[in-house]
Amino acid sequence: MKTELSKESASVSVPSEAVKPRYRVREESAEYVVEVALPGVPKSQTQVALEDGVLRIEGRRAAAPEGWTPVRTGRRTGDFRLKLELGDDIDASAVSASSKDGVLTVRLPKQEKAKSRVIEIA
Amino acid sequence: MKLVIPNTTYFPALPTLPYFGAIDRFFRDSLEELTRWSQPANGSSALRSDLFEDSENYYLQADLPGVEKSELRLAVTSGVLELAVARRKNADAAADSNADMNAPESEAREDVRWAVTLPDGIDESAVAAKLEDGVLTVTLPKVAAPKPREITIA
Repeated sequence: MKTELSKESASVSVPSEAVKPRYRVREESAEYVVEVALPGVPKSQTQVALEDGVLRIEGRRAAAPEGWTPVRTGRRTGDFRLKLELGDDIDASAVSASSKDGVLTVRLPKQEKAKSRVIEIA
Repeated sequence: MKLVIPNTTYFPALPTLPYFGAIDRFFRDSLEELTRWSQPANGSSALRSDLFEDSENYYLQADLPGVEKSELRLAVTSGVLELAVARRKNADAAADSNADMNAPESEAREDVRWAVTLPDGIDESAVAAKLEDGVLTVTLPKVAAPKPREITIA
């Protein structure tokens, strides 16, 4: 099963030696939220794919403009790749992603049966 | 020597960098990665920045993922650029209690400040900045150096 979340950016190709971006995962009652720091990666150069229970995030950094000579460097170069294995309680058809200020947010809704519910006492 | 070979592709921009070796950088980054895990999630981290130049300007680029324009303050005084990220107003409690050590730098929930020493010869009145995709670019115009005057030998 393959879910392409970002069809327009399917042409993004990242070399196999990409850098693992910083990320965090939090669990909410109805979904998991993955936030990935992708500084310098425009939305068009970001690809999110879900395949065989693995969430794959790839981002290509914009290169420094031509004519700029490096004086001192402290940032990481290279492109980003993150692979996260997902639990089988994810509803793969409802995964969504958004990008803002260099942070990609992927929302992974839980399947109906895995959602936590408050049960009222009769 | 297997480590040496993949690095040329790992850091595609490096052949143009005269100052830092790919291998130094590889180990420094790996070390940073290790040390970061021992830091508290809300701790401030080092500013990752690059300095470039062309004939007219210096350009400072810094990674600030998750920082909005309205949260960032910049000031230049006597050769030092100060960056301050203000506390995020709508920090949700869920994110705080569950914060992962591997959190992105968007974890700027406290006021975070950095000071960057600038190269000499900058026109501080004409500094410009923009923030795009989590990367801050500060353009630092060089003070026009007197052009060498050619002297004709009579």
